[in-house]
Parts: sequence; structure tokens; C-alpha cells
Amino acid sequence: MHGPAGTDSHWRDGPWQKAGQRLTAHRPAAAGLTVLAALMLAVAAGLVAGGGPVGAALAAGHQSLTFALFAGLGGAALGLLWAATAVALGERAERAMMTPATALTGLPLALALPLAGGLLGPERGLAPMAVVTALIAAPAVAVVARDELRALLRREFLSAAQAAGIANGRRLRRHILPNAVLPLAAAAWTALPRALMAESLASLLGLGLPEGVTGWGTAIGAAARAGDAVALAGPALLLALTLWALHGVGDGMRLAFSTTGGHR
Amino acid sequence: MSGSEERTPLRVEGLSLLTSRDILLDRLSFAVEPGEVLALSGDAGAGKTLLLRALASLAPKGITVLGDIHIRGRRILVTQDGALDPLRPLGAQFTELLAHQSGMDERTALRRAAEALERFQVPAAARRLALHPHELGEAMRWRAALALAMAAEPALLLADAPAAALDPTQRVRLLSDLAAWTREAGTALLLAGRPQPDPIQADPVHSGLADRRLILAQGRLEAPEEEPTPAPPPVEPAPSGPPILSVRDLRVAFPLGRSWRGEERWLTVVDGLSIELAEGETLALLGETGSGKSVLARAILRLVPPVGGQVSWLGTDLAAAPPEAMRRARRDLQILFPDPLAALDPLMTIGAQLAETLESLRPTRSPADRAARMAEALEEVGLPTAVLDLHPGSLRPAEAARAGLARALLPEPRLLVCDEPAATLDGAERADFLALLQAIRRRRRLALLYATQDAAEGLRMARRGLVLLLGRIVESADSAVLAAGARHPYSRALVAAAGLVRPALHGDPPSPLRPPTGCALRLRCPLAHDGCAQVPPSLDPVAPGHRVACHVAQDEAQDGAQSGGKAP
Amino acid sequence: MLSLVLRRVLAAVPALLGLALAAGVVAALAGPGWAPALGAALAALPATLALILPALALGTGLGALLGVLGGSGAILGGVGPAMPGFLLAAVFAVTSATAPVLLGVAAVALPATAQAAVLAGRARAGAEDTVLLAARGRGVDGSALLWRLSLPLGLSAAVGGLRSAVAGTVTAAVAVESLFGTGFSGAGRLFVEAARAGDASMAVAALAGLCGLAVLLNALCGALHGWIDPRARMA
Ligand code: SF4
Repeated sequence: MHGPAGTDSHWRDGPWQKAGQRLTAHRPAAAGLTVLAALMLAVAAGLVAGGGPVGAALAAGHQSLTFALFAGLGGAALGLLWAATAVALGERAERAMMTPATALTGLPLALALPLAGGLLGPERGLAPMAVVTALIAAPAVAVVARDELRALLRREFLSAAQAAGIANGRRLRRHILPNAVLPLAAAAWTALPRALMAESLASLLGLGLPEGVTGWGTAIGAAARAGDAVALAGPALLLALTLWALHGVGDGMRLAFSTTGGHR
Repeated sequence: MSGSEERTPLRVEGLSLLTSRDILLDRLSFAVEPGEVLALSGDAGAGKTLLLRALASLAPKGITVLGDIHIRGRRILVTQDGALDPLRPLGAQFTELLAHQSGMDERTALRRAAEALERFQVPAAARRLALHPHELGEAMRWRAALALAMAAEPALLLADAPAAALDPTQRVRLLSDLAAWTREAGTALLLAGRPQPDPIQADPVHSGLADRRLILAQGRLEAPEEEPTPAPPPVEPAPSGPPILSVRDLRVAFPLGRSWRGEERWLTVVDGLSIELAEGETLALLGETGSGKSVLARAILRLVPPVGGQVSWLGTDLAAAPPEAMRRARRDLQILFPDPLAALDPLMTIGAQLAETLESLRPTRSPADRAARMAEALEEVGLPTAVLDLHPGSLRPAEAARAGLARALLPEPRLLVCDEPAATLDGAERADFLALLQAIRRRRRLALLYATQDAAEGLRMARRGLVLLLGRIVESADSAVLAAGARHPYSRALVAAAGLVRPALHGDPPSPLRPPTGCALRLRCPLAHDGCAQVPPSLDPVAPGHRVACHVAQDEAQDGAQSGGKAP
Repeated sequence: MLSLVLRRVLAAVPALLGLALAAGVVAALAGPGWAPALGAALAALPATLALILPALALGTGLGALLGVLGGSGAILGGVGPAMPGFLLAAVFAVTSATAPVLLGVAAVALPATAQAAVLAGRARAGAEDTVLLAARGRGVDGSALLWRLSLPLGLSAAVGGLRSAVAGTVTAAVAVESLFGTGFSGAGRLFVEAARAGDASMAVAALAGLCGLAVLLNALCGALHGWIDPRARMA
């Protein structure tokens, strides 16, 4: 059996710690986390040090990553809100809200960003672009989050809580919300790579980040048009690495946290 | 070597399976003769699956096989899930296998396939060959998998816990059909058991399901010892007094959306059930999967909203009860879930969950008193108090089951509703848990509602039994009466299957979406006559305290009463 | 089979009509000349389709095979997320001295291949202890097992995952068409140029055309999935 409770080892057996261990046990996730941390440091260092093609590429990363972070968080929040509202409003509303979300995930939504970029003109601000990016990332998050919430609501311990006479509000606070955190985080994470990809694509076409703001996509697009392979290599590699790391962590989170079995 | 040894399909000498660190199986020697059925049992993780895979030369990577395996003739392994190719229809799978193994042409192969399915009592077998595996029910899929294996005429059939997930009624029938066929065809059959509750695990030799039985324990084979038959439970006096729980005409149904014509479609799971339970009374709910016993158990506690009828506890109608009265009723009515681990919140410690239950149901207790109660409850179920600080994730199934029991006992209930409470346990752990449950029930004089698909277990646990079929009661009587002389064909099948005797029901349970007219058992019943299709039988008494819903059984009882009346 | 295709395509009709309607409304609001814009976008679609279709077919088939075989397929699947189509398009556009058409198709096909490899590999790994073990238990082995069972299972999984691949492929095609100067002049190019010029009606019409293409391809992929895998026929 296990050691007696209260010993030093016992904090390691907590469910949150175990979830963390499951995450880092997935090799791409562990590698992805390391790469992301290293990238953050490098980008910060590049900002300070600057200069040279490497410094420029790192500095461009600052713009791209910041934009992707904010737009991605916005998209995640929107998607979670979408799913939570759908589940809360009952079956019919849920169907009415989730069918369009599922349909949207099959469309090349990322193209909406260059469209917005073109229509807003060269003087576009960052905020509207971030909003459009968030909208692009939201439906996929909503679909996954809805599945997770449904699976969570079917779990037996909620019946047990009901049998223990625990009122609905308390059940929501004490049992449903804490158990929703990790699976929903896994769902939300997918918004980050999606936002970064949409932004990079649009910037690459010259229709993304406003003029004067240089992201990885902008740099890649400029290099591609100029036919400059050397200028292209830095930002392209960094972007590829970041996307790979984001995906790896997202995969790991899905496998480690999801209650729906994690096979989608 | 003598001639008979030449024909022995499987002879194993000194077989050991090793990983780089462990000895998994240690120098096993045994043989299976043609036409013999050898049952192999052992606890979970004893290595039965591994042994079968090694015998099929399919040992997993990283496992070294030492020793001699002599196999004469073709061998076939039917794996634990009996998986078929999901992409192709049954007929194509038969023809491909038969063409591959004996160069049979398609027509012959299809005929062989239909014959093989018919050996397992599949009606209209030739038509089923056009179906894909996902279009078959679980039971039918198993029949197809075993028929496919047997159609290839193996000299040795290795079957790893076949059809373990099926109901006992269907499983025992399937296994006895298989054993009959292998004996007739001279195929050696090695049948591995799954952890309990499992017929192969119990003792298949007595009932003729197997010829010999070996037990795998600690990597070695042992011959079984004679197990003492469990002493019959002490007969308890029938509890008297007014009913504390009364369920009247309870109906539970789930909406399935609208059909294309716009009618509302409902899946009725509990169909107008009435039960009364006196203080300290014990009642078993028996039935196959889908008979509605689990939903009934939950509907009584209002974990599933009923669509009609009434559940009253101590005279209060629970549907209309104000929150305060409902809380008082919840204190008295507690439940054990089929998967105790899943019924515990994985993020809270056991202590926190027990405290939460107490706080919610016994809010007047002082904190010190609560702690004492929790310690007491844990002691009662045989868990150390250290468990309070653990999260469910670090409990073993047996501990989780006990923690669930402790939680149910905390508010000092008067009725314990159990929904297959030992489903996740096997072997000795299961027996221990059930004994503990029984002891606690006696000590606390709890009323008990015990839902299970294992008729023998249910009738051991409770004084009375109710047999459910598609959400209705078809027979109710004292457990002793049901065990010795059930009147309804369905109850007889349940009891027979629990004793490993081939039950006399054919076919699969009807879909609850389209129940047959008249008696719900009509399409499977060996006694059915024309009248059964027209008039659904009502639940009428055939003897004092014994009610049956079956035309034939009622007629018999009447005849018996008349002749009995005339005789003296 | 034909009825399945028809059903899938018919099911996509409402979505297509909706797209056309939305495009028409937006384009009409944006100004006159929306009808010719829509016509131009539709006329440019076949060129885009000619880029997408071979890439998707090639990528899915090859990816499924590689994924089932493991090894290089697993590696390809592992690096897949790092190479979205538009990035490959940019890299190939810089380095392409010769055969731009092939490189363009490759940029669209590679991500699809990687995704198919991942899905097929996962499907095979999942079947290893169930369907494949059961078949081995019946004495099926070697190449029969690969061609008759593993590969169809992998292909089924890969085709089942085409939904997200289609969207990615259309996006990649847009990047390819706009970055590879010559040889590609489909709806993607039209879209980017219109967007750059701020021509709302043309850009919206082209985007609607691309979305409609994705919807149609999704419907066809659904039908294909149903053909390969009877379990997918139900819904
Ligand atoms: S009523 Fe008829 S069909 Fe039903 S159980 Fe009795 S004999 Fe069988």
C-alpha cells in the first residue's frame, strides 16, 4: 500500500501534481515547454542586445509572440464562453450554438485575417486585428470545450455529490469548476498556435500586422519576395520551432488532462 | 512416444516466461487432449492472457519464452476483445480466412460460415453475413468471432476470457455452445477466465462447462482444491411493520428527440414499477443489462428525474418535498455506486469529501463530533484513518469501495441502495467486501436494495428478490423460493446462468426502443404460445408472497392449486 | 456509394447557399460590381482546385502508408506541426529555381501528408492490441495483415481527419498562389490581390468561393470516408 499520510512524499501524490507529471511524461510536451521557455529568454535577450540578423529575428519574435498571446487568450476566452453558455442554456440552445461552431472549424477561417487586413487598409490598428484573430481561434476551442464539459457533467462523482445533498451552487463551485480547469486549459491552449499561424500567414501576405510592426511573418514575406534565403532562414526557423513547441505542449495537455479520452 | 501423444494438440513442458527483471510464469507443464475443455483461472494479473499469447507465438515484445511448446495442427487464438475487422462484412472475413487457410472457394466458405453461425443459434445466419461488425450487437459479435475461429477447424482453440462483458445469461449459453462444438469436433479448447465475477473463474467443471480446471497463481499452475460450499446465510425473520419506502407506478423515460414525423420519441427505462420496503428489509433487484435496475435505484434517490409515479419515504412524497425535507430524506437514503472510484471527486481528499457529506446532511454536528464520526466510519469499513488525507487517485479499487461505503454510512442512513457495488472488485476482495457489507447491514439493521445481474449474489445478499425485465417486474418472491423454484422463464434463466447451467432463452434482449407486443420476453421464451403475443401478462400472485407475470406460469399455478385442492 | 456521395453533397448545399448569400450581401454593400466579381472568383476556382486536389490525394495516401509503416512516417508526423503550408510555400518560393509547379504542390501536400501520417500511425498503434492481434491470432500475418488490415485502418483514420486538413490546404494554396509568381493564378491569388488593393467586393467573393470549395471538399471527403469505413456511413 501507500505510505501513511502526512509523510513528506505525500504532497507529490496530489491530483494536480500527478497531472503535471503526466504532462511532462509526454516527451514532445516536455521538449515543447523547454523550447518555449528558451524562446522567451532568447526573445527578451534579443530585444535588449539587438543588432545583426539574429537579433532582428528575435525582435520580430517579440511582436509575433505578444500579438499571438493576446489574440490567442482572447480567442480562448471567447471559445470557452461560447461552450459554457451553450452547455448552460440547455439542449436545444446547445445544438443551435454548437452546430455553427462545428461548421466553422471546417472552413479556412485563417483567411479572414488577411481579408480584414486588406479592408482595414494600411493604417489598421493592432486591436481590431487581434479581435479578428480571436474570432478565428474561438470556434475550435468552443467545440473541444463543449465536449469536455459534457463529459465532465456525466461523471459519477457529481451524482454522488447530489446524493450527499449538496446544493447546485455549491456543486458547481466545489466540484464542477475545479475539475473543469485542466481539460478546459487544454482546450484553450489550442487557440495559441492557431492565433500565431493566422497572424503569420496574414503578415506574410503583407496583410497582417500593421506597417511599422515587424513580426516573423512580415520578415518571412519580405525575404520571400526579395528572394533572400539568408534573411528568410532566421524567422522561418524560429516560427517553425515555436509552432512545433506550442503543438507539442497542446498535445501533451490533451493527453494528460482531457476527460474525453483525449483521442480526437 | 506413444500414438496418443502424437495426437495431443497442445503439450507444454517447462514453459517459462521472463522479462529482463521478473519471472512471470515458472516452468509450466500441461497438455490438452483432443475434444477436451481445459479451464484456466487465476486472479487478475496472474498471466493468463500472457500464457495464451505465448502459446499462439504472439508473446509481447520484451518477453522471453523458454521451454517446449508442442502444437499439432492448426491453432487459433481468440483474443480478449474478440475483435473482427471493422471495415469488412462478416461474409468476406469468413471467405478470406478460409481461402487463406484451406484454399476453400467462396461458395463453400459462405455455406460453412452460415453453418458455423447456426451452431451458435443465430437465426437467419446467411443474412447476417452481409453485416459489418459494428452493426451487430455485442453478443452477436462474439458469436461471429467464435464461429469464425471454429469455422477454420483448428486443432487447438485458445480463448481468452471470451465474451466477458456479456450478461451471464448470454455468456453461459455461448460458452456451453462453444464447449459442445469443440467436444464434437475434437478440438482442444483452452478457456481462460477473467477476474470474478466469472463462470470460468468459479467452478466450470461441476456444471460440465469444462472437463478440467487449472489455477494460475504466482506464476505456477495448481490443481484446484475442493472449495467448501459457502454456508447458507442464516434465515432472518421477515421484517414486519409499515413500509418505510414506497414506490408507486414509477416511470422513468428519456426523450430521444422527435422522429421525422414530429412525434416525440421516448426511451422508457422504468415502466410503472411499484415496490414497498419495510424497516430492515432486504431486496435484490435482478435482471440483465438494460432491465432498468440501475435507473430504478437512481430514480428512488432522485438522481434521475422520474416522469411519473411517486416515491415516498416515511410517508413524504419526495417529488414534492421542500429542500429541508429532501435533505432529511437524503440523510436516510444513501447509495453505493458501481464504480466507487469514479464516484469520488478526484481533486478532493477523502477526508474533505466525507466532511462535506456530513456537513451537508448533518449540519448540526460540531466539528469535533464530525471528526470522531469520520474516524468511526472508517474503522467500521476497515480503513486506516490515514486514508482521510489521500486523494482518490492513490486508492486501490478495494479501498475506494470501502471509502464509498464509509461515506454512505456517515449520515447514519436507514436504507442503503446498492448498484452493483462490487463490480470493480474480484476474487477475495469481492467476497470480503460483500461480507463486510452484509455484516454492517445486520449490525445497523439497514434496509437494503441491491441491484445486480448476478442472480446468485443478489439472492445471497437479500431476503427477497425482484426480477426486472425491460423496466417491469416479472417475478417477486423470497430469495429461497426464487433460487429453488423460480416460475418465470426469465428468472429461471437468470438463476440457471448464475449456476453455470445453459439458460433456455434464445436470442438477444429486444431493443427497448421497440419492445415486442404482449409479453416482453415472447421472442426469447421457450414456453411462448400465441396468447403471449396478444395480452401482456399482469403480475399476479401464484402463491403467498410470490407473484409472477407470465401466462404459462399462472396457468400452471392454477392447475396445481386445483389438483392440490382435490387431492386430499 | 453514389447515394452516399449525393447525400453528403446535398447536406452541404445549405452551407454553400449561405456562403453565397453572405458574399452577395457583403459585396453588394461594399459597392457596385459585385456580380462580375463573383463571376471572376468562380472562374478562378478550378485553378485552385487543380492545386489542392492532387496535393490532398497524394498527401493523404502517402501519409497513411508512411504512418502505418512507422519509422519515417512517425518522424514526418512529429515535425508536421512545425511546417504549416504557408511557411513551406515561403521557403520553397525563395529556393525554387526550377519546377515551381511541383514545389507548389509539395508545399500544399506536405502538411497534409504529415497529418495523415500522425492519424494513421495512431490508428495502427491503437489497433495493435485489438484488431491486429485478433487477426494474428487467426493466423493472418505478414503482408496480408499490412495490405488487408493495417493500411485500410490507417487510411480510414487519415481520411476521417481530412476535415481539418482541407481548411489547412486551402490556406496553404492561397499562400502558394500569391508567393509563387508564375504558374498559379487561382482564386487565392485573386483574393490576396483584391485584399491588398482594398477591393472589398472582389476579396469577399473570392473568400466565399474558397470557403465554398472547402465545404464541397469536406462533403466529398465525408463520402470517401464512408466508402472506406462502414462505421462512418451512419451519421
Ligand atoms: S407470458 Fe408467454 S412469452 Fe411471456 S414469459 Fe410467459 S410463456 Fe413466456
